Amino acid sequence: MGPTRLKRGFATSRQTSDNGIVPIVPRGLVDQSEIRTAVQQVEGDLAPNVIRIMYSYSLDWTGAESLFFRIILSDEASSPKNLRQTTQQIIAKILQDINAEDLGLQTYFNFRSKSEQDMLQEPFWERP
Amino acid sequence: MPFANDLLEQAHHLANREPKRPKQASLRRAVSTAYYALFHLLTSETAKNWKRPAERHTVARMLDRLPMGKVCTAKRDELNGFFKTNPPTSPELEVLKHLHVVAATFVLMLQHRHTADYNGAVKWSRTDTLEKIESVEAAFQSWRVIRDAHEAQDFLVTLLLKERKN
Repeated sequence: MGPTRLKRGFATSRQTSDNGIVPIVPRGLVDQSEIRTAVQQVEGDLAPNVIRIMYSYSLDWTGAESLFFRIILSDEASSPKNLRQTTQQIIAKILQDINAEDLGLQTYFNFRSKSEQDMLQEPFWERP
Repeated sequence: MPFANDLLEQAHHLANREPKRPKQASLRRAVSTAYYALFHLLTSETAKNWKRPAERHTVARMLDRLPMGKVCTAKRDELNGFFKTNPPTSPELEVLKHLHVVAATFVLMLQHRHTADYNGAVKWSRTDTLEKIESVEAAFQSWRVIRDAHEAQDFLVTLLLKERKN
Protein backbone atom coordinates (compact mmCIF):
# COMPACT_ATOMS: atom_id res chain seq x y z
CA MET A 1 0.00 0.00 0.00
CA GLY A 2 1.36 3.41 -0.92
CA PRO A 3 1.76 6.37 1.38
CA THR A 4 -1.41 7.81 2.84
CA ARG A 5 -2.76 11.08 1.58
CA LEU A 6 -3.17 13.73 4.22
CA LYS A 7 -6.54 15.16 4.99
CA ARG A 8 -7.01 18.82 4.21
CA GLY A 9 -7.54 21.28 7.00
CA PHE A 10 -6.60 21.73 10.60
CA ALA A 11 -6.01 18.46 12.39
CA THR A 12 -8.81 18.22 14.91
CA SER A 13 -8.32 14.70 16.14
CA ARG A 14 -5.76 11.95 16.05
CA GLN A 15 -5.82 11.24 12.36
CA THR A 16 -5.01 7.69 11.42
CA SER A 17 -4.78 5.75 8.21
CA ASP A 18 -7.50 3.33 7.18
CA ASN A 19 -6.28 0.61 9.51
CA GLY A 20 -7.07 2.98 12.37
CA ILE A 21 -3.73 2.57 14.06
CA VAL A 22 -0.89 4.00 12.05
CA PRO A 23 -0.68 7.79 12.21
CA ILE A 24 -0.98 9.71 8.96
CA VAL A 25 2.41 10.90 7.81
CA PRO A 26 3.52 13.18 5.01
CA ARG A 27 4.17 11.76 1.60
CA GLY A 28 7.63 13.29 1.38
CA LEU A 29 10.82 11.93 2.77
CA VAL A 30 10.50 13.26 6.29
CA ASP A 31 12.56 11.75 9.06
CA GLN A 32 9.83 11.56 11.67
CA SER A 33 12.08 10.26 14.40
CA GLU A 34 14.31 13.29 13.90
CA ILE A 35 11.34 15.62 14.29
CA ARG A 36 10.07 13.71 17.32
CA THR A 37 13.47 13.85 18.99
CA ALA A 38 13.88 17.55 18.24
CA VAL A 39 10.45 18.37 19.64
CA GLN A 40 11.12 16.36 22.81
CA GLN A 41 14.41 18.22 23.18
CA VAL A 42 12.71 21.60 22.80
CA GLU A 43 10.06 20.58 25.31
CA GLY A 44 12.75 19.77 27.85
CA ASP A 45 14.80 22.86 27.10
CA LEU A 46 11.84 25.22 27.53
CA ALA A 47 10.43 23.67 30.69
CA PRO A 48 8.87 24.83 32.97
CA ASN A 49 7.31 27.44 30.63
CA VAL A 50 6.38 24.67 28.23
CA ILE A 51 4.47 21.77 29.72
CA ARG A 52 3.74 19.75 26.62
CA ILE A 53 4.36 19.97 22.87
CA MET A 54 2.35 17.82 20.52
CA TYR A 55 2.01 17.91 16.77
CA SER A 56 0.13 16.39 13.87
CA TYR A 57 0.75 16.18 10.15
CA SER A 58 -2.05 17.49 8.01
CA LEU A 59 -2.74 19.57 4.94
CA ASP A 60 -3.36 23.24 5.49
CA TRP A 61 -6.19 25.07 3.77
CA THR A 62 -4.11 25.53 0.62
CA GLY A 63 -3.32 21.81 0.46
CA ALA A 64 0.28 22.21 1.62
CA GLU A 65 1.74 19.50 3.85
CA SER A 66 2.01 20.99 7.29
CA LEU A 67 2.94 20.42 10.88
CA PHE A 68 0.35 21.65 13.35
CA PHE A 69 1.81 22.13 16.82
CA ARG A 70 -0.29 22.13 19.99
CA ILE A 71 1.59 23.60 22.89
CA ILE A 72 0.52 23.75 26.51
CA LEU A 73 2.12 26.55 28.49
CA SER A 74 2.39 27.10 32.20
CA ASP A 75 -0.07 29.64 33.52
CA GLU A 76 2.79 32.01 34.32
CA ALA A 77 4.25 31.77 30.81
CA SER A 78 0.86 32.36 29.22
CA SER A 79 -0.02 35.41 31.31
CA PRO A 80 -0.71 38.48 29.17
CA LYS A 81 2.57 40.16 30.07
CA ASN A 82 4.62 37.10 29.09
CA LEU A 83 2.60 35.57 26.28
CA ARG A 84 4.17 37.20 23.24
CA GLN A 85 7.73 36.73 24.39
CA THR A 86 7.11 33.14 25.43
CA THR A 87 5.43 32.07 22.21
CA GLN A 88 7.98 33.82 19.99
CA GLN A 89 10.78 32.04 21.82
CA ILE A 90 9.09 28.67 21.43
CA ILE A 91 8.26 29.12 17.76
CA ALA A 92 11.78 30.27 16.93
CA LYS A 93 13.37 27.34 18.74
CA ILE A 94 11.11 24.73 17.18
CA LEU A 95 11.61 26.12 13.68
CA GLN A 96 15.34 26.19 14.16
CA ASP A 97 15.61 22.72 15.66
CA ILE A 98 13.34 20.79 13.32
CA ASN A 99 14.35 22.57 10.10
CA ALA A 100 10.75 22.48 8.92
CA GLU A 101 11.45 24.80 6.03
CA ASP A 102 14.15 22.52 4.66
CA LEU A 103 11.71 19.62 4.96
CA GLY A 104 9.21 21.52 2.84
CA LEU A 105 6.61 21.65 5.59
CA GLN A 106 4.47 24.60 6.61
CA THR A 107 4.20 25.07 10.35
CA TYR A 108 1.32 26.34 12.46
CA PHE A 109 1.21 26.83 16.20
CA ASN A 110 -1.64 26.81 18.68
CA PHE A 111 -1.26 27.44 22.38
CA ARG A 112 -3.24 27.07 25.55
CA SER A 113 -2.47 27.39 29.21
CA LYS A 114 -2.49 24.50 31.64
CA SER A 115 -5.56 25.92 33.36
CA GLU A 116 -7.39 26.17 30.05
CA GLN A 117 -6.60 22.57 29.18
CA ASP A 118 -7.66 21.46 32.65
CA MET A 119 -10.99 23.14 31.99
CA LEU A 120 -11.45 22.07 28.36
CA GLN A 121 -10.05 18.56 28.91
CA GLU A 122 -9.58 17.84 25.24
CA PRO A 123 -7.94 14.42 24.69
CA PHE A 124 -6.37 15.74 21.50
CA TRP A 125 -4.22 17.99 23.68
CA GLU A 126 -3.18 15.14 25.99
CA ARG A 127 -0.57 12.50 25.37
CA PRO A 128 -2.09 9.16 24.38
CA MET B 1 -5.84 52.81 8.37
CA PRO B 2 -8.55 53.60 10.92
CA PHE B 3 -10.79 50.73 9.79
CA ALA B 4 -8.00 48.16 10.17
CA ASN B 5 -7.17 49.58 13.59
CA ASP B 6 -10.82 49.42 14.59
CA LEU B 7 -10.97 45.77 13.56
CA LEU B 8 -7.93 45.00 15.66
CA GLU B 9 -9.48 46.75 18.65
CA GLN B 10 -12.67 44.79 18.04
CA ALA B 11 -10.71 41.52 18.01
CA HIS B 12 -9.34 42.41 21.45
CA HIS B 13 -12.82 43.25 22.66
CA LEU B 14 -14.19 39.90 21.49
CA ALA B 15 -11.31 37.94 22.99
CA ASN B 16 -11.91 39.51 26.39
CA ARG B 17 -15.69 39.76 26.20
CA GLU B 18 -16.43 37.02 28.72
CA PRO B 19 -13.92 37.38 31.56
CA LYS B 20 -14.31 33.88 33.05
CA ARG B 21 -15.57 31.44 30.47
CA PRO B 22 -15.05 32.80 26.99
CA LYS B 23 -17.59 31.70 24.42
CA GLN B 24 -16.25 29.89 21.39
CA ALA B 25 -18.24 32.28 19.22
CA SER B 26 -16.37 35.24 20.71
CA LEU B 27 -12.95 33.63 20.36
CA ARG B 28 -13.53 32.42 16.82
CA ARG B 29 -14.81 35.80 15.72
CA ALA B 30 -11.84 37.43 17.44
CA VAL B 31 -9.35 35.33 15.43
CA SER B 32 -11.24 35.97 12.22
CA THR B 33 -11.45 39.69 12.93
CA ALA B 34 -7.71 39.88 13.66
CA TYR B 35 -7.07 38.32 10.25
CA TYR B 36 -9.38 40.82 8.58
CA ALA B 37 -7.61 43.65 10.35
CA LEU B 38 -4.37 42.66 8.65
CA PHE B 39 -6.14 42.04 5.35
CA HIS B 40 -7.66 45.53 5.44
CA LEU B 41 -4.39 47.09 6.51
CA LEU B 42 -2.71 45.73 3.39
CA THR B 43 -5.57 46.47 1.02
CA SER B 44 -6.04 50.02 2.27
CA GLU B 45 -2.32 50.73 2.12
CA THR B 46 -2.27 49.43 -1.44
CA ALA B 47 -5.29 51.47 -2.44
CA LYS B 48 -3.81 54.64 -0.97
CA ASN B 49 -1.39 54.69 -3.85
CA TRP B 50 -4.26 55.30 -6.23
CA LYS B 51 -4.21 59.02 -6.95
CA ARG B 52 -7.97 59.62 -6.92
CA PRO B 53 -9.50 58.98 -3.47
CA ALA B 54 -12.97 58.28 -4.87
CA GLU B 55 -11.80 55.05 -6.52
CA ARG B 56 -9.67 53.70 -3.71
CA HIS B 57 -12.37 51.43 -2.34
CA THR B 58 -12.69 49.87 -5.77
CA VAL B 59 -8.94 49.38 -5.99
CA ALA B 60 -8.98 47.71 -2.58
CA ARG B 61 -11.63 45.29 -3.82
CA MET B 62 -9.22 44.08 -6.50
CA LEU B 63 -7.19 42.38 -3.81
CA ASP B 64 -8.02 38.77 -3.17
CA ARG B 65 -6.80 36.68 -0.26
CA LEU B 66 -5.68 33.73 -2.40
CA PRO B 67 -3.19 35.57 -4.60
CA MET B 68 -2.21 37.67 -1.59
CA GLY B 69 -1.46 34.50 0.33
CA LYS B 70 0.69 33.19 -2.50
CA VAL B 71 2.61 36.44 -2.76
CA CYS B 72 3.14 36.56 1.01
CA THR B 73 4.30 32.93 1.08
CA ALA B 74 6.75 33.60 -1.74
CA LYS B 75 8.04 36.76 -0.04
CA ARG B 76 8.41 34.98 3.30
CA ASP B 77 10.34 32.11 1.72
CA GLU B 78 12.48 34.45 -0.35
CA LEU B 79 13.40 36.44 2.76
CA ASN B 80 14.06 33.28 4.78
CA GLY B 81 16.56 32.28 2.11
CA PHE B 82 18.15 35.71 2.14
CA PHE B 83 18.47 35.78 5.94
CA LYS B 84 20.28 32.43 5.82
CA THR B 85 23.08 34.12 3.89
CA ASN B 86 23.85 36.14 7.04
CA PRO B 87 23.63 39.57 5.38
CA PRO B 88 25.42 42.40 7.19
CA THR B 89 23.40 44.61 9.53
CA SER B 90 21.98 47.60 7.71
CA PRO B 91 18.86 49.75 7.62
CA GLU B 92 17.76 47.80 4.53
CA LEU B 93 18.03 44.54 6.43
CA GLU B 94 15.84 45.95 9.18
CA VAL B 95 13.21 46.85 6.59
CA LEU B 96 13.31 43.31 5.24
CA LYS B 97 12.94 41.84 8.73
CA HIS B 98 9.83 43.92 9.31
CA LEU B 99 8.49 42.97 5.89
CA HIS B 100 9.05 39.32 6.78
CA VAL B 101 6.93 39.78 9.91
CA VAL B 102 4.09 41.22 7.83
CA ALA B 103 4.19 38.55 5.09
CA ALA B 104 4.67 35.60 7.45
CA THR B 105 1.88 36.77 9.76
CA PHE B 106 -0.52 37.10 6.85
CA VAL B 107 0.21 33.51 5.75
CA LEU B 108 -0.34 32.15 9.27
CA MET B 109 -3.48 34.16 9.87
CA LEU B 110 -5.02 32.92 6.63
CA GLN B 111 -4.90 29.41 8.07
CA HIS B 112 -6.09 30.42 11.53
CA ARG B 113 -8.94 32.43 10.08
CA HIS B 114 -9.92 29.46 7.94
CA THR B 115 -9.97 27.22 11.02
CA ALA B 116 -11.86 29.77 13.11
CA ASP B 117 -14.50 30.38 10.46
CA TYR B 118 -15.06 26.87 9.14
CA ASN B 119 -13.91 24.25 11.63
CA GLY B 120 -16.30 24.01 14.54
CA ALA B 121 -14.48 20.97 15.92
CA VAL B 122 -11.55 23.10 17.04
CA LYS B 123 -11.87 24.65 20.47
CA TRP B 124 -10.07 27.93 20.88
CA SER B 125 -8.59 29.13 24.12
CA ARG B 126 -8.25 32.76 25.12
CA THR B 127 -4.48 32.30 25.31
CA ASP B 128 -4.35 31.12 21.71
CA THR B 129 -6.71 33.83 20.54
CA LEU B 130 -4.69 36.56 22.22
CA GLU B 131 -1.50 35.13 20.75
CA LYS B 132 -2.97 35.42 17.26
CA ILE B 133 -4.15 38.99 17.93
CA GLU B 134 -0.74 39.96 19.29
CA SER B 135 0.95 38.56 16.22
CA VAL B 136 -1.24 40.81 14.07
CA GLU B 137 -0.43 43.76 16.31
CA ALA B 138 3.25 43.04 15.77
CA ALA B 139 2.63 43.00 12.01
CA PHE B 140 0.87 46.37 12.30
CA GLN B 141 3.85 47.77 14.20
CA SER B 142 6.29 46.43 11.62
CA TRP B 143 4.25 47.93 8.82
CA ARG B 144 4.25 51.35 10.48
CA VAL B 145 8.04 51.24 10.53
CA ILE B 146 8.49 50.33 6.87
CA ARG B 147 5.41 51.66 5.08
CA ASP B 148 7.35 54.30 3.15
CA ALA B 149 10.29 52.08 2.28
CA HIS B 150 10.78 51.04 -1.33
CA GLU B 151 10.69 47.32 -0.48
CA ALA B 152 7.40 47.74 1.35
CA GLN B 153 5.78 49.65 -1.48
CA ASP B 154 7.05 47.15 -4.02
CA PHE B 155 5.53 44.39 -1.89
CA LEU B 156 2.15 46.14 -1.94
CA VAL B 157 2.10 46.26 -5.72
CA THR B 158 2.86 42.54 -5.95
CA LEU B 159 -0.26 41.85 -3.86
CA LEU B 160 -2.27 42.79 -6.93
CA LEU B 161 -0.61 40.12 -9.05
CA LYS B 162 -2.47 36.93 -9.73
CA GLU B 163 0.71 34.96 -10.28
CA ARG B 164 3.93 34.98 -8.33
CA LYS B 165 6.26 37.77 -9.37
CA ASN B 166 9.54 36.36 -10.66
